[in-house]
Amino acid sequence: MEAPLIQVKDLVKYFPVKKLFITVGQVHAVDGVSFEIMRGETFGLVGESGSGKTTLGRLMLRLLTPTSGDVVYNGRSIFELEGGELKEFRRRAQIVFQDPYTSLNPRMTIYDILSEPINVHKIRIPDKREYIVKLLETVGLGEEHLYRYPHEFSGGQKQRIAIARVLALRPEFTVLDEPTSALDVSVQAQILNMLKELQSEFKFTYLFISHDLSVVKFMSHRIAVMYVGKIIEVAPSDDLFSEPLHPYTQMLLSALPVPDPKYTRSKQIIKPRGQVPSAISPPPGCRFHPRCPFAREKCKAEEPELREVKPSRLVACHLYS
Amino acid sequence: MKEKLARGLNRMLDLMGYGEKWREWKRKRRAMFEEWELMYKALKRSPLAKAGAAMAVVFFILGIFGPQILALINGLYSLLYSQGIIKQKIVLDPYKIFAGPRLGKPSLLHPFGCDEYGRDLFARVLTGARVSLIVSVVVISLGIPPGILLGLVSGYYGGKVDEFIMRVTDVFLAFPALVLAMAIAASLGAGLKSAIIALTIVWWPSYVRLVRGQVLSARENVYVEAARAIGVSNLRIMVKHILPNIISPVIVLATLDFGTVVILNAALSFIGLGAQPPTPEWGRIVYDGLDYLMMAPWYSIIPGTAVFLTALGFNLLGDGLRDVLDPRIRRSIEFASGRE
Repeated sequence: MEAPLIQVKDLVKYFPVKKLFITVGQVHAVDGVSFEIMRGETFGLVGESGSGKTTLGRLMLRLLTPTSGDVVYNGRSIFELEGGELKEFRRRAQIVFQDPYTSLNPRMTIYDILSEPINVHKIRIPDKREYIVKLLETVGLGEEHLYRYPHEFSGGQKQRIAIARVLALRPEFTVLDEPTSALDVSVQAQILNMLKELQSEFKFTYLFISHDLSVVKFMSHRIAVMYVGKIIEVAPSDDLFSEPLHPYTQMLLSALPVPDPKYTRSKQIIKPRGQVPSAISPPPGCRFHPRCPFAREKCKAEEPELREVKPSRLVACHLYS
Repeated sequence: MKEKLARGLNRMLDLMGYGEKWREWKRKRRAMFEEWELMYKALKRSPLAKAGAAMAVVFFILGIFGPQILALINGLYSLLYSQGIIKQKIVLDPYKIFAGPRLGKPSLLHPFGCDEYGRDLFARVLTGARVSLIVSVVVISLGIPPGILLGLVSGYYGGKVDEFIMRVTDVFLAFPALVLAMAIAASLGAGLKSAIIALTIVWWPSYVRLVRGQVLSARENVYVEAARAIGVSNLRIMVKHILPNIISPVIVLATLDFGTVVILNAALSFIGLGAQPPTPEWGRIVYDGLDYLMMAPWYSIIPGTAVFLTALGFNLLGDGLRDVLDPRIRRSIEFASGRE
């Protein structure tokens, strides 16, 4: 079997909460997460707001330093890289941010924005201008946009520019941090299709972060579900939707609207009880137990581990032990 | 007419073989030109800013071309003398004593009157503009860059570096600017040079504060993180990504400070720590005139007014610039001038 491109090993990130210079608590943004991403795969990451998806994505690019744990890229821990090696990693691993309105420097022209990665990594190309025009054409823009400023573009166009900036380096691995959630639906579809085409053309590996289940289903090969800093289920995309194992996943999927007026739900909607627990003081045991309809005594005391219960199906729940 | 000129210029450059290069250069900077045009339009809309800009420009012109202006007037006077229209030979010179009557009233030939040595006050005030201009240019251009640099480093890196730089800055800011400048100037010995040094030393801390605060908010921008993800070095992020986005308030403060430096320098000279006689410095002239305030009020009032007008001009200009550079206010101007 091929070695994974990225391995995340027991990654933990706490953010201190300070009041008057005194640390009064910690936000458990990412709390002991492990998974692997294969080369050429799209790994989907779903979860509600505040579940730690974005933090996880940033940790995997070393934009944040973890409290503990490790990310291994191509056999090397990314937190040990220094100097030239770190630069090489920065060239290979890229990120597209959620909000295209703020991810482009308002004082730089599109030409400057797109030539920056080329300059920084001293990539040798015969004609830089031509290369940048080609990049723009790949994402559906053209030469006439070269010397404009970001504020002269629409949200969808800005996101295309952000993607062109990533393409300039031909990265192996790209974190797509909700790349379409700030865009309207028709533009979403264009961007998603473009990302898929680019993947098949350049053999990219994606980590696709989103809270939109249908988008994740469309994009990903495998999907991980996050809940309050933990991954509770990992499954191939189709399996997850046909047969969700974890009660939280079932709850999420039952809330998904079906675009068919004649459709009646086969199963009853599982109604959530209570609120999402605070990430500063997560409940002991399984984090989902206060809201789980199937919770038992064991769930309150013991934290379930992410285990393989069926081939290629991982779930963290006592129901399956 | 304008278009014809532009077309002619284009054709000429084409013939010289620079046509395409020139057009490319212009395309690259199109947005910059538009920005300037917009700022110009916005300034034009505010009468106060226009007045301030006019005063500032007059100050610069008088400061730079003072001697030439004097030479021109002297040429006119000698012409009039040779024609016999004026009786005595008059030369306007800031240092020449008995050029006119002692404490002479303002007249056609001595528009600002004369001081107790009979020196022409018009020449002295005019030359004083140059002294003030040199002081403010030197202080601003030497005092601001270190302030910006320290502010950038402090805000960007944070932690202990930030703590250290800010505490040192606090020490400087704890004293009122004038008091600190007085102390430094006094310890260096009175003179124009020590006034300049004192003011420069006093000047950087407020910029550290300002820049640091701006950097703290600017570095949280997603585009800064995007630059880091690409692998841009810290130095380049600071200079290319953060600095251009925070420079507006620095420009505004520097403009306002131009006036403040002129005032403080005059104040130092007034209390005898700055320029020494016979240097024609505005604050010094005001002080010298105090003894004769009853007999020759113009002696003090005119250089005092010069200080006042200069400071007022830069303040109005700075306020105008703030409105132009503030994106929220500018947007309304953009809409009003019919540009989306």
